[in-house]
Amino acid sequence: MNKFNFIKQLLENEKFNTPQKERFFKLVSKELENSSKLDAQVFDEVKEIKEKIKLLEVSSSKSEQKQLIQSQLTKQGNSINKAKAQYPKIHNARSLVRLMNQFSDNSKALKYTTHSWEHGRFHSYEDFIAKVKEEWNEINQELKSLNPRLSAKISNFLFNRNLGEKKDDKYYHVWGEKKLKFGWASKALEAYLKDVDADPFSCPIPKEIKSLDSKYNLLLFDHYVSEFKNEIEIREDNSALVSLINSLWTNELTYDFNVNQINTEGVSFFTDVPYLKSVIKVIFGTFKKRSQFPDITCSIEQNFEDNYVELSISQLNSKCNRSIEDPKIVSPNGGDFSTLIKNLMNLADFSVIGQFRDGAKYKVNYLSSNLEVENVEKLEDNYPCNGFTYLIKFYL
Amino acid sequence: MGNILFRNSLLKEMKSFYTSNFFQLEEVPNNGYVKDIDARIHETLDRLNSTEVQSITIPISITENFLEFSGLRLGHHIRLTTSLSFSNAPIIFIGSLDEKQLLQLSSLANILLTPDVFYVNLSKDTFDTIEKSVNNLDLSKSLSFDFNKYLDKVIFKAPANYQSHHNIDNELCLLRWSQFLGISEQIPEVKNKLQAGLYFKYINAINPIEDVTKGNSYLFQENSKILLIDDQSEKGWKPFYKAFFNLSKHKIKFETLDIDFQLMIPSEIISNAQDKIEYFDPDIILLDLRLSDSDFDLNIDPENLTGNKVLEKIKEYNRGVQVIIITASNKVWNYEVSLDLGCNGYIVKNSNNNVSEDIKNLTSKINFCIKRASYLKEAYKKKNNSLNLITKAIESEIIEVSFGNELIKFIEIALVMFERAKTNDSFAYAYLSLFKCLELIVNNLVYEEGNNWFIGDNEAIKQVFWNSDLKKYSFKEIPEFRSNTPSNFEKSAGLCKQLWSYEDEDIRQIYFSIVRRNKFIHPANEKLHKQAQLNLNKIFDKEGFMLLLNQLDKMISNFKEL
Amino acid sequence: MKKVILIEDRPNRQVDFIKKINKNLNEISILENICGFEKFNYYKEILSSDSLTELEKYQVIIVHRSALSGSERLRLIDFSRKNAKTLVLFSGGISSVTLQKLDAGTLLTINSKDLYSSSLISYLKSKELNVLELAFGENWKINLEVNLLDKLIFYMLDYSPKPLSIILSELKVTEWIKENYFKNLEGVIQLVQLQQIKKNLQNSLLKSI
Repeated sequence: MNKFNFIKQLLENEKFNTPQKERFFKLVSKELENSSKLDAQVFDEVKEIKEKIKLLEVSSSKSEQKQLIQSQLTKQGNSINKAKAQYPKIHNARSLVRLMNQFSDNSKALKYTTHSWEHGRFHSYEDFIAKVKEEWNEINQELKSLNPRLSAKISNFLFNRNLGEKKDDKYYHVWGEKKLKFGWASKALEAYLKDVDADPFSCPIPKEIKSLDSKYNLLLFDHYVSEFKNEIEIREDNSALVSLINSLWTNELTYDFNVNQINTEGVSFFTDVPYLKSVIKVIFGTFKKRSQFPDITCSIEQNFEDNYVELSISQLNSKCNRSIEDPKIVSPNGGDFSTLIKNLMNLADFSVIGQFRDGAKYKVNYLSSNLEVENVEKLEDNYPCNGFTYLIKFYL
Repeated sequence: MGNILFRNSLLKEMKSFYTSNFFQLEEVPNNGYVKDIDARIHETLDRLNSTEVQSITIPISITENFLEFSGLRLGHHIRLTTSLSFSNAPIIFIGSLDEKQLLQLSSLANILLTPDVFYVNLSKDTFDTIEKSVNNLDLSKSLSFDFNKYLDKVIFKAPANYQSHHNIDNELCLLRWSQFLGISEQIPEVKNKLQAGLYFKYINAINPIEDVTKGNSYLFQENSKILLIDDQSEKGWKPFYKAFFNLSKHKIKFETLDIDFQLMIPSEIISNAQDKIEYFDPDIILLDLRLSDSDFDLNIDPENLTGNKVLEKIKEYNRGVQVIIITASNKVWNYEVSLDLGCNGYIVKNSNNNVSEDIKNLTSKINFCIKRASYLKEAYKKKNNSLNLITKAIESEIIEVSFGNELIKFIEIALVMFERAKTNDSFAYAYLSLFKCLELIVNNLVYEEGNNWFIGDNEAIKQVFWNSDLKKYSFKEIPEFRSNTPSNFEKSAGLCKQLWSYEDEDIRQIYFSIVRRNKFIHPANEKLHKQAQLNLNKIFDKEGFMLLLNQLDKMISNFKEL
Repeated sequence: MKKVILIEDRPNRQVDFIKKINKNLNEISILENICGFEKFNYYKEILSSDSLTELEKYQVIIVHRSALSGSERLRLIDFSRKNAKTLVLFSGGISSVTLQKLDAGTLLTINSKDLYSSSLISYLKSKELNVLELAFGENWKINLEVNLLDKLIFYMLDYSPKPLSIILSELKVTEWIKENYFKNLEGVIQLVQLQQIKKNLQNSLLKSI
């Protein structure tokens, strides 16, 4: 049974006296305030209840009524303001990228887990893995706190000796989205590298593993490394971003929509790619609900001075029907926005830009690596915004 | 029995890729951009070697670009790598062009014209077709694969070096000689690069390397120091010779001239070579003629080749050091120039040769040179020493200029003859030639005035004789020279014992040296006893000459006592 | 503006080549010709150092492979990868042309004789500096056409209409191919249109080979 119907029933029960009803109502309101999903709805419902028990009738004048409503609204408003102060959430996207950049730092052993090295750089497989482990231990704690899933994926790929073996009745030891079963710690690779001249990336994958991962037809270790790179980095050599957007266009939006990509070639940055994919999926999901605006633009702005890459995804001509003060906008508590915020935490700064109910344009910031950023920025009327836009800023 | 399908990026990305279990997928790795395509293909085939293979399907290119024709190349590798268990397996190529177009684009496509090679166009039925056809192929063991039919149709050009084909011959020899001796694994250049080269596999196929015959024919029995001067030494020749000489376990001390030939001008190369030679004092030098880039000029005079210039310097240092020229050049007139400059052997690296003969040749030449160096070096050292002493004596006016110069000339002549001596008689002639120097010395330092004979500073010469009672050489009270003229021996002994206080044994040896000459000119009628005959016979080999040379050197060193 | 740098340690090689084609490399304005002696030594120092920033101003770097050590070579490859350069390594010992992608850069491995040929001159004279021309000579278009033809054959096997931009992305279509085969297409592409492209490719190949 619906909470509110129950409360309504209770309050309709004449065994309650007025002060009791009042106290009851106060308690209920407070509890309902704390329930994040139903704030606004709660307010409406409460109003309805109050009318039913004729609390409002006690006060005679309309202005007093108004005042009472106002005071109730303010109470709610205060609690909203408290929630309002939560955004933009300050997070550590830059730190995450700084840690991930070790994978492309020439002086780090970590880089050579995904790149060939010159003869003689490492004396042996054991020497190499020891150095990798050392460097990993230095960054792991921080990485884990920023993004535990990414940290687990990398750790599994680099150090799990049991990949491909059964964990229990049902599951295997795996790493990554595709649940792959070969990595740097696999015994076959260690054996292959007993020969100091051998190139690890040419190591052939053992038959058992090939048949377990047969879906992907990965024949050499190089292919596994490539899959790993694909999950921790948007790479430009295979136009990863373009393909990612295209595949979501095909599968999520369908061709009733038109997706135009601008400057998305030649883009590369470290991130948690499966999470990025789920984020764009959600965004496309919101576009799908408004099929009257079929033109979508995905564009990239690269800023090498300030070291970031910003992805803007817009649904052209669409506007937001809500008020800028709508709590679902300024302090989302559930729904698509919350999902996006959760998935982009510590990965990228996240904002939206749009024209709201009052006709003005605003930028709402949800995740920022910058302390000085406001929750809501009012934009100039001539600000170039041609549709509701999601902005995701990745650091380099 | 596996049906291998080599994958390229097209097949990798195909979403609707054939998923039946018929094919065993393989791929040639791209090895971090370090290894060339031949090396990568070779390694992949090496890894697959023990597999049972029924058929092999290959796209025309297994790398990123069609025009690389790397798939066709792979096909050739399969056929030409005779150690491969499946080198005769049926090969099926797949592509979107037709065969005629392929043949017009690349000579590698000739493989399509050879037995057991098929071509299937790309279409939705490609893989089904192949699967059905392979199952229908008659693969009975009696199916004989005629390798010659393959060889007849294929054409391979050597990788085009910017210079002449010499470099290819160089590499081919390194490869084939190493393979013949079974030391390929010890030479990185061969193991990692040359073995894998498609052109080299082709040459090995048309001119196969024989099996090594059992025996010690490639071993050296004598100790010797050998120096290699070759700008390609870093390209594999250094480890080759090291391994080659190692077979003889510690007999040969081997070193190379380790300089950056490409960055030096000829004069620098030559002076570095000189330094090394003086430091290492080798017995034999293996010398390449083309050591500098300027040597590859087509119009160059052979005398100006850096190798020949180094040869000159070597012979200046000590003509006894033996030089074997090992070169990929086949220009005969180069040989004549080197011969004139004194080289002692010449080996041409030619890929058409029989490897077994090449190695035998190399070994016997080195052995021959070891023998010769063993006495010639010493001889020339002595000669140089003697000549220096004579020159000093001339300068200090101890001896007359004319005498000194004449002596020098005759010593030179004797050494020339000695160097050329190969037969018994020629050694004897060299000996006679050297003997002239002895005569010169004694005739100059022992002189007649009036009816009397003097040595040194007007000192009368005493007559030396062998006192058999006292068993030593003694002086006669009063000289009684036959025809009032001391003999060669008496003159020599007079000088040596009277003036220079020689030991008796040394006098004796001089006696033998003189007898040796006399008995050669006037052979005895009666048979001499064994010991004596042996002694005389020394005139027929290096020993006699060396003994005499040492004696002369000692005499000359005593000039300063005059 | 010098866009291409050629670093050669053996001047004789270049001299031989220049005699044959009768063209002085020093006269080509976009080429910085570093041929032996001091100039080469200067660049050799750079190549063996940690910093290759001096090479950043060139779009194409051509180097004699044997003049580099193994680690120098890898460093140069890494530099080209990171800075989207075209790197050409030539040597007498290379038996086959290999052209590989280095993320946004390109690596061409080629024999000296193939490099020092008329292809080099026409490559340097062209505006776009298309490395395919240098690698494959006048047949370079065939490379792109056959690559596309191969892909198309399988692409069309279970094809459902898709927008043009997706097709161009999935087939990894280059500018030249787009210009010549996908020019007047837009919107959602039907199977018949792809079949027409395939026919066009086959016709072109029949003519050119």
